[in-house]
Amino acid sequence: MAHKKSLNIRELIETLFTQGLITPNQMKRIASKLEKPAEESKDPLYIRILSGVGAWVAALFLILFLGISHLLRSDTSGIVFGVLFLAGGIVISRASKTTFLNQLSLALVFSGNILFLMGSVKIFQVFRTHDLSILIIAHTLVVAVAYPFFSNSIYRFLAPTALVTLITLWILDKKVFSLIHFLIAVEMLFTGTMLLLKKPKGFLIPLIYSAAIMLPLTILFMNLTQVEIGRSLGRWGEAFREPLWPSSLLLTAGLIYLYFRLAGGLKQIRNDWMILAVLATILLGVFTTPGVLVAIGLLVIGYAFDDHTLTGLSYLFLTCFLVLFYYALNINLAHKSLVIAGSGGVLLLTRWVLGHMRFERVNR
Amino acid sequence: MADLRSNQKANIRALRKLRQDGLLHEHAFIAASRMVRPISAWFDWARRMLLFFGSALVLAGVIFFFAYNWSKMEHFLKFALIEAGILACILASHLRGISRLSGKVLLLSASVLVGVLLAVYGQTYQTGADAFELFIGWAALILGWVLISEFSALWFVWLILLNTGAILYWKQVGNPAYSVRYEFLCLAMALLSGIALAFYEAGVQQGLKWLRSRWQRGVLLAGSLVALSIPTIALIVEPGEAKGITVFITFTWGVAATGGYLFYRYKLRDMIPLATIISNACAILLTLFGKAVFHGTGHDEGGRFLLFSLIILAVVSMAVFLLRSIAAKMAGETGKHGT
Repeated sequence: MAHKKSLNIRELIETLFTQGLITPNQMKRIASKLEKPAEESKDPLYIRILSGVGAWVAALFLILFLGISHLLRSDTSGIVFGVLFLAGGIVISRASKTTFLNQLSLALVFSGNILFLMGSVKIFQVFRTHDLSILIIAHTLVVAVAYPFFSNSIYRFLAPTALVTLITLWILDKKVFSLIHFLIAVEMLFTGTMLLLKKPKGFLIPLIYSAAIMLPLTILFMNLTQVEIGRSLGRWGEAFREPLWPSSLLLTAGLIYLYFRLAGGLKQIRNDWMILAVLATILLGVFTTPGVLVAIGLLVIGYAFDDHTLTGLSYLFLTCFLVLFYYALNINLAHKSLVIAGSGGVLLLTRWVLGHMRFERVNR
Repeated sequence: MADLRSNQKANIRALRKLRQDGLLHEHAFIAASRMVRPISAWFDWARRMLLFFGSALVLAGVIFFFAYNWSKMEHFLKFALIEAGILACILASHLRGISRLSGKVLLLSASVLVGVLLAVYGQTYQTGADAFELFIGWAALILGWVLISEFSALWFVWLILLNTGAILYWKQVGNPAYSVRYEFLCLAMALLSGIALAFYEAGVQQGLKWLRSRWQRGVLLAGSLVALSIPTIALIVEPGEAKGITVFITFTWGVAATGGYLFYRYKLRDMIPLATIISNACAILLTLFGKAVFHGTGHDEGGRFLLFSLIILAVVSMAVFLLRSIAAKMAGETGKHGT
């Protein structure tokens, strides 16, 4: 049923009530919720970005202060200061909600996390063995402890994202490129599970956004190592020889699952539009590169959930991906041209068929 | 999550919030979702996105194709292909009509292909022309289409071309041949974004529908402020190197930031530009404090870093506090005025 005039929430609830979809009791509870004065809502994105950037820069100066004051000389000092800063940050955040103390706690937790990693590096002499695994273990430990106790959404978003970045770097460093497909599969399952939760708990929200950014980040990293700057980094810049079709296959399957899930289940396969969406996605999976599939996935979820952040992320990621893909040196421009233009062709063809289908439907 | 008000337009986010709070059962949620967003809305959205993504990918593919510089392909064939593409896009745009989205996207595609044509021309004849000429020439050639397009994405592409042309001109000619200072480049870029912003706001006031989306406002304002901030920061960091133009730009930055704040706070009541201005002011203020803290040599080098870290926290906290209180006040004012 299409409404020409857009409904407001009250009108919509009344319609649901008259259709018997909500009980009088539910109606009363919703009405009382709507009449309540607005709760103090969370900060908008621009404030969180400003706050996060400010705390990050402050954390770097805090670490520089410790370094210049020769307080990080001993092998264990990094870990000791790391633990102290993390604990201090968590205590302050729980004790006070003033803006300055919140900022201070975030900066302390950021610097505590970095110091703990630096301390772990020093103790295990990571740089001599070129082994990133200890960093991953140390960071996992910090995130596992800090996430439940430190309720700042900026930290809860950034820390898991950093963990995935470290894992991607480890795979590239160890040159076990086949693991990239495994990582993408895990990220896809995790992202899907988190984003499709019907009643997500408040403390999981930053993790949901973190999960949404993990897949694009891994794909961008993969491409970044193949551009001129990436290659100058030495070990990480060696040619990525792994074929990408396993990831494309996984993401294609993931996208198709997403369509069914959002549309209301497998029974939707009887609809011509669903058949078209599935066929187009399979064709796209054959042609394209994982980056395009990830961008489409984010776009679909962004629209389905009315989430402008995910939609914006999809546009931003597609732009960054195309730029990096252009400069990647592991495949030539002729091949890239075929992949990208072919994908675009599939999308435009799908649009044409969709328009034609609708025309037929209107005629019927 | 969004706060819910009864007169708020019903959307999927609000419904998800009600379901999350246990106030809507699954079947009611599905029925409500279909009322708020019927299948026809999904169709419209899918067609729009398929057009945007499909066109962007095809155009990127065309650029990749010609950048490959096929040695076996005849020059004339290359030119013929691109020119045929431009003609086809223009013709199709005309047939569809530029009032329709597909017509606008076709016009944008033709504009991008003009750039590809110029690049292939330079690739083939090795004219020795500077790269800035390509961008300025490109911007000049598509100006007519930009003017008639009523399409903000095409205007945005055109502005990027002008900015890129200006940067390359300064890098390739202005600075090496005429010793033009970088401040003039910054001023030119700030003016470009500033003038575009002024036209945008005038267009919005006139009620032009194609300027409805607000992202351009933030991007243009940020472009203008960042360009003005570079000489301003340079004046703070190295005042000895500053010339009259540096001081003038710093003054311009002050005027632009203050004027922008007043305009978006009291006239248009938009938080995104206000956040942009306040964040930019934070960067300038922190540079000023940083200069004061780290200026000269002293015994307690470490202490300065600690002090500056605390200053950063204080300044950012103030900015966050200010933004929160402005947002709260503006929400109250909007309620009072019933807008």
